[in-house]
Amino acid sequence: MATTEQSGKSGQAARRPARAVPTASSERFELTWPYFMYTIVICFLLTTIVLWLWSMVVPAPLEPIADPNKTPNPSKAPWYFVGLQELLVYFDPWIAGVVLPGLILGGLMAIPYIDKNTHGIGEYNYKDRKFAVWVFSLGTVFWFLLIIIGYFFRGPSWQWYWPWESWEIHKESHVVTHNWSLLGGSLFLIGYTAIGLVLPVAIPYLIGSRVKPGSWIKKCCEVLQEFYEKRGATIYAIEMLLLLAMLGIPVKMVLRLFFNVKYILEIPAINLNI
Amino acid sequence: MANLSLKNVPQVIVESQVWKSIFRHGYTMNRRNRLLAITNNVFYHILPTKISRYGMRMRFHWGAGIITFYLFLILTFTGVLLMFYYVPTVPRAYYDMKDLQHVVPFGNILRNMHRYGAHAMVFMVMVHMARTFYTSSYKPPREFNWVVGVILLNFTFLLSFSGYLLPWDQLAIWAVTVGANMARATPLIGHEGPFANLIGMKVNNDVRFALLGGTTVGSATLLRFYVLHCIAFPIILTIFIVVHFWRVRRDGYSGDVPVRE
Ligand code: HEM
Repeated sequence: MATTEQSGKSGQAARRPARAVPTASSERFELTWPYFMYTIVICFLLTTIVLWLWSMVVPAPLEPIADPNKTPNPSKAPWYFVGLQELLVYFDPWIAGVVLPGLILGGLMAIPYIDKNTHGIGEYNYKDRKFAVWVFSLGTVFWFLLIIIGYFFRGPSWQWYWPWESWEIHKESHVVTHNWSLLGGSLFLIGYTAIGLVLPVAIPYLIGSRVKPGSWIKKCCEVLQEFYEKRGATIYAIEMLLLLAMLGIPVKMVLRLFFNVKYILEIPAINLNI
Repeated sequence: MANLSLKNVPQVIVESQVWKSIFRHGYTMNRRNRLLAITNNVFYHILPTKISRYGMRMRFHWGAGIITFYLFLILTFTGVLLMFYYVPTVPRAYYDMKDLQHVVPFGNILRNMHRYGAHAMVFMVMVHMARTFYTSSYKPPREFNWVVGVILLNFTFLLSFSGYLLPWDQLAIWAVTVGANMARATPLIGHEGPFANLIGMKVNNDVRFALLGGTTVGSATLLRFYVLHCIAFPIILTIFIVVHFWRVRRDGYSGDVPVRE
């Protein structure tokens, strides 16, 4: 790229604080026309070429005409919803199809208002925002993992089929699942939420002052205390509840897969099963 | 007229009254004209006249927002063409798809581009979201534009999902059946959802019924999804894209923020 802006202000630029909002005449800037136009045109051209080749080479699927009397087994949602469909193994539809998508969208919208960390705007910065990067990345990986499982590894009756296994072989689940009692289930859910909310605050206050400075326990306490104090009670509570909801998904998956728990809490009178 | 050779034809054109009346600024590539090229053009003037070199690089912005937008343009264009051939009724919809595949000139590639373009757009919008997350572009003053982005994400899903039904093949109705069955479990307003029995929700008056126009996916559903897919969702998406771009300009592009010497 040719330099189109010549100015003798580099000395001034050097004295500017590290993250100052740049002025329009700064020499860090490049004209949009034509330099950014190249990028746009190349993006457009490459997209066109890829999409066109893809459309030429791979015919889009068109199955037999819709027949309401012939339910294919399995019936799969479009790929971007297959992750939610996969969650139907572990949750009732009101959670997998309504509550969790609502929490995902609501949680995404809440991100700018609960992440008060002002580091790293406009740059790839992991050092100053490890927690945020980890939570977002884990959520994203988990989302795509569920999609891959649902799309490639599920066959008839939503049973597990390896890609090389034939769907002709009939599989059935012989797992006998059970539900927890009303009391046990309520206690578990209340306990999960309460412990998740309170423990990170309580630990530093209870044992923080009793351990040696410099030990790893002390360091953990300091990190937790800072985590809470940076956020304040309200934002801490919202953030933790969203986090607990997200972590609740693998928790329920483990309970279902390894302990054969169908419902933690079951209230048939109002269709409320968790 | 003696000195009108082939060589200075371009010169004569760009200095003619007609050319100047259209483009208003001179043609020579000097700094002033390059700025005017952006500001004097209704399509380009949503772009700033200058962008930081750092923020211009692909490795900063991944081109994801641009490509998502371009895919939306392709989808609008191919979608309008498809509307000439496709009738959203149960007796015709599927056979119109067959005609597109086998009869209409270039019909197959038209349909394929629209279908694959939709998949690509859903994917690219998620990629773009990841990039704006990792560059902290959602932080003040861009919080609200991130929220607008999440709304765009949601409507991209809905737009793609509503189109999924239109070919009226087995894949289409059963995928939509799976999706719509989730709606019947909505708390309160879906007849199988928690608390729904308390306010008298039944299979023929809940939110799923409203979505499908019936108790199963049928001709009313096809019409509903067609109207949503071709009119309602594209208009909503367009409105929010306009807001989104406007806000990128108003809030400033986050790639312009860091100063590296
Ligand atoms: C139809 C969908 C969308 C389109 C067409 C779109 C397009 C764009 C474009 C062209 C930009 C300019 C910068 C760039 O190219 O990276 C941008 C910026 C931005 N987008 Fe999107 N976007 C969409 C969805 C989203 C979503 C889902 C999010 C996040 C949830 C989002 C958040 C943002 C933010 C925060 C910026 C400002 C970035 C900055 O200043 O660096 N957008 N968008």
